[in-house]
Amino acid sequence: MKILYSWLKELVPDLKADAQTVATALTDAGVEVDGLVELPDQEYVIELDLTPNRSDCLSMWGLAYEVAAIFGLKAELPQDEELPILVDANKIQLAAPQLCPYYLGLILEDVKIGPSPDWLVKRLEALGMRGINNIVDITNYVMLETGQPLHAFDYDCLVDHKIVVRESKEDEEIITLDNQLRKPEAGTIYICDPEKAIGIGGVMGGLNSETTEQTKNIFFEAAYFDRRSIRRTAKALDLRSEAALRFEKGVDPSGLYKALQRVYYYSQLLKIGQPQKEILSGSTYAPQADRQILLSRKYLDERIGMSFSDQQVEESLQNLGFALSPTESGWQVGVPSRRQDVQEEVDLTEEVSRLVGLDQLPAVLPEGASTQGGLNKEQKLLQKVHRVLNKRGLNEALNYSFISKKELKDVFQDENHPLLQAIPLKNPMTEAQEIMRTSLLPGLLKNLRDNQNRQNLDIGLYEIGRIYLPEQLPLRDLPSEELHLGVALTGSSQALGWQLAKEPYDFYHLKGILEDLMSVLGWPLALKEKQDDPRFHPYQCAEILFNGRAIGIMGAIHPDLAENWDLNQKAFLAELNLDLVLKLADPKINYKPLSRYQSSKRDLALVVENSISAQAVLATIKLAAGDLLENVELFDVYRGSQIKAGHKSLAFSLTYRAQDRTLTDAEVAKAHNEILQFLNDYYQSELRQ
Amino acid sequence: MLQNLDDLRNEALKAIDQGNSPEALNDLRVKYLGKNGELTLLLRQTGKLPAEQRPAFGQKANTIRAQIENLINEKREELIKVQQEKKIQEEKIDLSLPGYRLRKGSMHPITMVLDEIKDIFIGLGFSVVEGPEIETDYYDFQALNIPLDHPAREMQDTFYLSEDLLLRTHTSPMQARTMEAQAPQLPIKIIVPGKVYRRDEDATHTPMFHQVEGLLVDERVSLSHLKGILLSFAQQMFGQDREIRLRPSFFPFTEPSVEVDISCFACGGSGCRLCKGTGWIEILGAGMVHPNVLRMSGYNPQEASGLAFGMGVERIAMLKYGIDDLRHLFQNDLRFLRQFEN
Repeated sequence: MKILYSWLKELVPDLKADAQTVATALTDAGVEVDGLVELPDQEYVIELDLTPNRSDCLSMWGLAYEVAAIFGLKAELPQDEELPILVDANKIQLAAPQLCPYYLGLILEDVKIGPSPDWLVKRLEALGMRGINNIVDITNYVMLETGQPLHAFDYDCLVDHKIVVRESKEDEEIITLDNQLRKPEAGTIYICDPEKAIGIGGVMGGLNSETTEQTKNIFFEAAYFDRRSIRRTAKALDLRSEAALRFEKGVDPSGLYKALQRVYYYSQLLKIGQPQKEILSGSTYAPQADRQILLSRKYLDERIGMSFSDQQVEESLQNLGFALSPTESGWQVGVPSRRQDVQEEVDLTEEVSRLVGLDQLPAVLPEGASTQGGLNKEQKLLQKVHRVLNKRGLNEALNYSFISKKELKDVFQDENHPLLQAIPLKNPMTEAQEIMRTSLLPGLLKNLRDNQNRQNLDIGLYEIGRIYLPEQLPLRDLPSEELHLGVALTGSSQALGWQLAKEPYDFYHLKGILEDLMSVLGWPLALKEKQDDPRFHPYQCAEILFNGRAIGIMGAIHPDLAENWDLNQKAFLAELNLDLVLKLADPKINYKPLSRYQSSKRDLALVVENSISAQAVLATIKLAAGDLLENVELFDVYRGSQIKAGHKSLAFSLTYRAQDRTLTDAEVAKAHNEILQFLNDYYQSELRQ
Repeated sequence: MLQNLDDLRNEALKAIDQGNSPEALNDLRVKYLGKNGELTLLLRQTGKLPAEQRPAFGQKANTIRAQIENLINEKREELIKVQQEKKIQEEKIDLSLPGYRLRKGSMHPITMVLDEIKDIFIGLGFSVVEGPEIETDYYDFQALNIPLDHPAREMQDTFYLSEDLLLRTHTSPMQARTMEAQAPQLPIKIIVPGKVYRRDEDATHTPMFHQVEGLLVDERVSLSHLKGILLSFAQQMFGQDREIRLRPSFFPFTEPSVEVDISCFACGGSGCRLCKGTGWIEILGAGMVHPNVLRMSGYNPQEASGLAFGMGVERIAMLKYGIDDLRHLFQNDLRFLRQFEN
C-alpha cells in the first residue's frame, strides 16, 4: 500500500509534520513503513508494509484517521451529498447472500469516455496505477481514496438491465477483461445478468460487459463479498488485483455507500455523464452502526501493567474517530465499522497502548507464584550425550528433516526395506526435500561426501534429530517422531600431539564412542553381530541392543555403499534410537571405599578358538573372579604362527586387591588359578606358552 | 706401619683426584674403606703393633679414614652436580613448539544458542517442553486464532503432508497443547525450543529453522511483565547494557502484539552497518495471549492472562557469532563446525 503525502495533508489539514516524520511515527505506531520515495514538487510517496489485520489502512481515508490519531489531530474527510437508497431485487438479485450480502450500484447515463485530467492521472501513477480512461480511473481513484473496490459495467450489455449475483455452476466459463477464458471451480461468486456471466465477483470483470468507446451507460458496482471466497478464487486464478487484495482482507460494509457517493461526486466534477440521483441495492442496506465495546479501567490497567491517565486513554481513542462515553468502571467505546480488527476489549488495550506509546511501559518481572524452572531428566541427559560425543572430538551436524527419495534408497540398498516408507510432502520446494527422513544416515553420508570434496578428510560427525515414522501411508494420523543419534566417522581420529601419528578410524573407535555414550547413561553397550544388512560390511556390523530389543545399528559401511556415495575412504556409521535410551537411562556413580592395601598384578595370555569373542571371555573372567579381582583389561590380541591354527591369543591384565589386608602371593595365586580353571573348562582354552 | 698409612693416604688422595665418575668414586670407597678395603685391612693389623704405638696408629688411621671419606663424598657430589648440569643442558627444548591438544569436538552453533536461551529462561523459572514437528491444522492454526482461509495463513507458507497434517510453521502449537492439558490450573511458564518449517528459501530464509517459544499464563500477567522478561533475556544474551524497544505489530494469536528490538550491541545504539544505521536490531515477536486462544484452550480471559514470545534461533546465532551466511548453518562444512569447538 502506498500513500501520497500531499493527499494526506488534504485529509488532515492541521498536519505539520514532514513526510519523514510521518513515516517514522507510523512505524512506531505499528503501521510499518517500508520506504519513502521523493517525487518532484516536494511530493512524497510513503510505502507501507501492512500487517493483515489493518485492512482499514488500505485507503487514504483510513490512513488519514491513523495519522490524525498518532499526531493528536482530526481527520477531515469530504462530506458528500446524501443519495437515497432504492432496494430493488428485480434490478439486483442476490442469489448467494452468504457470499455477497450487500451489492450497491450507481447508474451513470450519457457518458463521455475520454482521458482523465492530469491531476488525477498523476496521483494514480504516483500510487502505482495507470491512467486508462475517465471511467476506469474513477473506480481506481475512489478505491485508493476509500478502500472500496469498484467495477464499471457497460449497463446496456446486461440483459434486462438486471444484475444477478450467484454461485458459478460446474464448468461455467467466462472470458475475463484480459481476454482469457477462465473456468473457476463451481461455487465461485459470479456477477451475471439473467442470461450470462459478466464478471468474476471481486476478482475481474468479464470482457462481454467491458466499457468501450461505444458505451453509453455505466453501472458502477460497489459490493461486499465473502473474503474467504475471494481469497480462494484469486489464488486459484492467480489474479491478485488491488481489488481482490482489499476484498480478501475485508472491506468496510459502510464504505460501499460512501464510495458510490464519491463516484457521484467525481462524475459531476469531471463532467463525464449524468449520474442517477439514487443508489440501487439488492438488499436492505444501511451503513453499519458503531460496534459498542465496554472498556474497564481495571482490565486496561491489569493488561498493560500500569495506569494511563483518563486523558491519555480518551484522547487516543477519540482521535481514532471512536465514540467515547464514560461508565462507572471505565468507558463505553463505539468503534466504526471501518475498524473490523477492533472486536473486543483487548483490542482497545492495544489501540490505547500503541498510541500512548509502548515506551511508556515499565519493565517488570512477574511477581506471581514462583515456579521452579529446569530441565527434565531426559533433557539433562541429552546435554550429557553432547558432552561425551564432544569429548571424543566429534562435531555436531545439523541437516534438514526432509531428504530425497533417491538418497533414502541409496542408503538402504533394498527396495523392500520398511524404512523406505517415508512421509512425502504434498508441496515440496525441490526434489531434494520431498520426503521426511526415516534415518539420519542419508544426511550424514552426504556430509561425509561434501566434506571430502572440500578436502576435509578426517571427519567425525554426529547428529541428534528426529526421524518420522508413519503408521500408514497415505498419512492419516500424527506419525511417531523418534529422536535418533547418528555418528559418522571417516579418515583418521585425532593424533594426541604433533609428534604422534594419527590413527585411522576403525570399527573400535566407533564402538568405543558408543561405549562411552552408554556408560554415561548407566548401561553397557550390547551388540549382536549382523551380517545381512546391505548397508554394512558383513563382518564389521552389529545391531545395538538395549533392554532386549534392537534399537540401532553400527559398523563399517559396505564398500558398494561407499562407492555409491563417492566416498574414497573407509567410513563407519551408527544410528540408534535415543528416546528409548534416555527414558530408561540410569546413570549412577558407584563409589567404593579406597583400599589402603597394596594390589597385585597378574597377566593372563589365553589361547582360545577364533570364534570365541573377547567380550565373552572378559565377561567370564568377571563372573569367575571373586571379590578380590579389582580390575581386568584386555591388552593384546594375537593370531599367527606361534599358536595353533584357528585360534587366537588374548592377553589380559588382572589386578587383585582386598579391602582389609595386603593379599599374600598364595591368595592371589589361588584366585588366579580359579579363574584359569573356569576359563579352561568353559572355553577349552589353554595358557599361551 | 705408620709409613704404610701415609703411603696409603697419598695413593688414595691421588686416586680420588683422578676419579671421574660417581661410580669410580664408589669403587674407591670400596677399595679403601670397604669391608676388605686396604685401610680396613691395615687397621685390622693394629693388634700386631706394640701396645704403646696402638693409640697413635689408631688415631692416625681414623683421621685418614675420615679424610678419604670426606674427599670421596665431596668429589662425588661435585661430579653428580656436573653430570646433572650436563643432563639439564641436554634437555633443552624448543618451548615455542605447539602443545599437545585434543580436539574438543563441538556442538552446532544452533544447539549452543538454544542451550544459552534455555539457561536464561530456566533462571527466570521457565520449564522446557517440546512438541511434535508434524502438527495438525488445528494446533498450528485454528487453536491460535487463525481460522481456515484467514489471510494470516499467508504470512507463513506451509508444507502440507495431508489435508490436515503439516510441518509446524512455528513452535506456537505447544502453547495451545500445554494450555489445553493444564487448564484451568495456573501458572504456566514454559519455553518451547524446536525445529519449524516454512516454504521459503532465499538468502535470509531456509525451509527449516529453529524457534524458541515462550508462554506465561497466570493471573494479572501484563505487557509490562513481557517487557521485563524480555529485557532480562536481552541483557543476559547480548550484554548488560542492552535496552529493548517494543513496537506494535500483529500476530493473530496475541493482542496486543509487538516486535521487540534490542539496542545494537555493535555500536551501542549510535547506528552502524549491523543495525542498518537505526541503532536497533529486531530479535523477536511477542504479545499478550489473545483472549480467543485462552478461551479455546479452556481459560477464562477475564481471570487469566498470558504473555507469549517467539524468537528465531538462526538469527540470534548469526548475530551472536557474526555468521555472515545463513546457509553455512546447514551445510555442515567442518571448517565451519570446528570454529565452535570450545
